[in-house]
Amino acid sequence: MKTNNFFDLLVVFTQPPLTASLAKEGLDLALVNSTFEQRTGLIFLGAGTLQLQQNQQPDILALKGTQAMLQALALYDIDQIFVEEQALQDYGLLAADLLLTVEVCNTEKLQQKIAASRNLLTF
Amino acid sequence: MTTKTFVLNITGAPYASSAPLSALRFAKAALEAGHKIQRVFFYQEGVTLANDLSCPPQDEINLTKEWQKLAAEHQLELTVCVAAALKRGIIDAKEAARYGLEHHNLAEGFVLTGLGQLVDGMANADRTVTFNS
Repeated sequence: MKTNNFFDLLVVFTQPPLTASLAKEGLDLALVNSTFEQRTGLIFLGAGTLQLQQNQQPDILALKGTQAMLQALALYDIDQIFVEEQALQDYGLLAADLLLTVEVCNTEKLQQKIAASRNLLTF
Repeated sequence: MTTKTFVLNITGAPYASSAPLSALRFAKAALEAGHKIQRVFFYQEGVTLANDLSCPPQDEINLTKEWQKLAAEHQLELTVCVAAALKRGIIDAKEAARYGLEHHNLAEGFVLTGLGQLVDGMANADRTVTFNS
């Protein structure tokens, strides 16, 4: 189907790290989507922004974590990564301290991104 | 009214969520209205619908059988994410052999596939609708 949208898919992350397989399954999908040459972007909302914190030690909990996958995004040409401004404030995070280079967006900007995508999947 | 094609992405588990039942009702309504269901994809907890060994009480709806019935009537593709399925103990004969397991439980009419099937579906359908928990 023809489309003028900027993204074919936006994957939205809402859950904190180390809770369930959700974030990994969302990242899996984003990577596969990109290998199919679909324009893919990521949005981190609320507690989902904690996925981007550095120096996580998932092995203490016998978990695998998603850090390696997040760092591999660039290899899959996924560089459109958006983070909710309010969430950074709520959790006392600075964009510069995050694992990846991100674009900080207010609610209005996030709405524009979402409106510019054919599909949206939330994890 | 123009005909639209849908992909259904079911991520909520049967009985623990209303996802597979809501999706079933949506699919029936869409087909009745003349639309096409291009593909049904089961992901995350949704894959447990494909367990052939589920035995709900006889006076309750058997969601696995209902989906099989609808799929047979309308030649629907019931595709199940292989990674999500194996993780949750949903396995076909081929994968059971690969992992040296004695048993397999993927219900008839369902196929284990990669995430590419969801991506391909999303790229080609008019609309993808997710049913989650």
